[in-house]
Amino acid sequence: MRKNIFLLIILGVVVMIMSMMSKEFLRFSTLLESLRYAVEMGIMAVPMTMIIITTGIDLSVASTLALSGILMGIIWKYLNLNIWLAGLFAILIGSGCGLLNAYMITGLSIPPIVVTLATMAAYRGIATGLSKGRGITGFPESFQNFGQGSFMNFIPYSVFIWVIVALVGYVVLEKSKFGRYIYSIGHNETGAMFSAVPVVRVKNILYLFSGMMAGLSGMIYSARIGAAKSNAFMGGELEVITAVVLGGTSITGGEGSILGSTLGVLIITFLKTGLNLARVPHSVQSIIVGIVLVASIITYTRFGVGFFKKIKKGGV
Amino acid sequence: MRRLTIIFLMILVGILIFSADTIKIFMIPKFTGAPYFVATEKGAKKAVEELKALGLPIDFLYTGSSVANTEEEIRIISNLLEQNPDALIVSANDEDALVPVLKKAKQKGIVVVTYDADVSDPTARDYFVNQASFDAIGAVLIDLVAKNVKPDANIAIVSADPNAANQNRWIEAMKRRMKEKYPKMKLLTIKYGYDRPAESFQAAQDIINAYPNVDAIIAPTSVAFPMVAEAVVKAGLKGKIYVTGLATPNDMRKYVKMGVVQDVVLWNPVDLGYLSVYVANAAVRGMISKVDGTEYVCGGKLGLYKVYDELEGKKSVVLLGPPFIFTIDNIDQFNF
Repeated sequence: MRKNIFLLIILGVVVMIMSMMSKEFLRFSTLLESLRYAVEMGIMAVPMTMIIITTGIDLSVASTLALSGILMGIIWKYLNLNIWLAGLFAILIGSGCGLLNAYMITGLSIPPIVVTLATMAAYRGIATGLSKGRGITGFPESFQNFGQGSFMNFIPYSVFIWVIVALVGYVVLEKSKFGRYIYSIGHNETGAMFSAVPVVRVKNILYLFSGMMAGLSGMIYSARIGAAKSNAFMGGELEVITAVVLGGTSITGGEGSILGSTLGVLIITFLKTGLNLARVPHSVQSIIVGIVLVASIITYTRFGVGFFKKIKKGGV
Repeated sequence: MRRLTIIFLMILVGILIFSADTIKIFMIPKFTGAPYFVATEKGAKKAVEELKALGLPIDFLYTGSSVANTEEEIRIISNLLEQNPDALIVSANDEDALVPVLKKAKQKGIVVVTYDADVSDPTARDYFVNQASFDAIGAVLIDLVAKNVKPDANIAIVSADPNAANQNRWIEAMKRRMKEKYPKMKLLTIKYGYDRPAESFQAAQDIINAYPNVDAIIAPTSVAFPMVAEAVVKAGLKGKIYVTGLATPNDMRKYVKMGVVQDVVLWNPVDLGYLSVYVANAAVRGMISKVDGTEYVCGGKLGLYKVYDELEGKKSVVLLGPPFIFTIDNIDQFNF
């Protein structure tokens, strides 16, 4: 909880400084519009948080997004399927990709970083091969509007989906037995196993969920840019992981929250929007994002140490 | 000629009437930092200064991702729309992905000019400043061979990939030029190097070995061009086989200095950036004149430009002009 308060303070400081740097920043329309470009990151950050809590990682999310998008486009275009039905297929395909990751991680006991590093390349490669480097365009107006339009010309439609995913993720991780399992695996996997936690099943579900959300993001992404592209969201997996880590999820497992990751996404998004509006060159922007990330991590570790000392003194 | 004078006068009058208002133009290249785009920036800034001196002030911003990144480019454009610019000048990292955000800009009444790399949907932008037409490039390459070797030379081509659309259109244009102007010139073979240095080098060696009568090799790709030059040097045929093609001065400087290559064909990116700003400025201030249904735009020191309704499949195109030829005399003025 302390981390989240700290993150809120950072977010406040970012918004304050950015609104001083450009007069267009602090407007609902600007902030809401900038969220449109954070939806995919926000959605994929939810399963990523859970996976990192279990000391795992999923590097294949951006490639899964691209592959699901391309296959959705192909199904829609060449099988003449309704676009929304094809969108459902994108989610299924993403889930399939996630399931394959899960099988290799739990079934074949290969470390997650190795498995997903391989599938990151493989899924992207299949997507490129299928599309032959060309995009699939011409999606129906209603579908494009879902990614490009806004409710009452104000809130981008896709943001609602992000909110739903984040809420569900929050309830699952923090209010349910399944959530307890996730934390216990992160704290001590062997211990969890001996405490009758279904470790393999939990992990399978998490990687499946990650693929599913990447598929959903693939559909949203295609609607947003009005095209299915094999180079979609290139390098996006690192952005997702950056947001999650900034959000206080410990890469060594056992710690993290959906609220924190969501705040992480918001901080990065608003920071970049503000810096763009303040006309800060891009190379400088990357440096600033890096500094914010490192500074937060340092503060966490300090906070953490102080926190545990207090508990000891209190004689818990 | 009288018509041109009238248009110039109209533009001058326009300048005098509409002076004073500062307009906002944002220029977003594929990525910053690369010498090619630094050159377009240089040209753009020069145009901004000239226009300022003419009483047409511009609030000019040149910004973009530091590496080629479609997501960042979309995000930057979307963010900058909040500042209500009068015009955007964009080189698209992805011809499809940028369409929605540029359409959004147009809906807000912003003039959208693409340069260097166009988007796939012409309704997403007002003008495309095209660096060079396929026809002109093909013609220049063949003309160079005819002039520097002989009109009945035996030539060979090293291309990238048999499916590369741009490559094939350049090759088609070359063939057309040969048929029309130099019917005795003979194309011996086309080899493919797949834009990989080793394979391009191999392709050039194959040509040299298989066709001892080859007079000239043309490589319309920046990967194959230096490799062909290298193969000619290795075979000890420097000066015997004429080599030309498309590449940047930096790619070819070494071979031009060695004397293996005399002419490097491309366009001048400084002029490309310069013209783009003039077009955007003219479109915003209503300085694009229409004569007999054809639009004309002033390109500053580059002269007057016609807006093509359609050019090689693209709509509303301003063509920078004939390709630029880099030689030993001018190559050191360029760093890209």
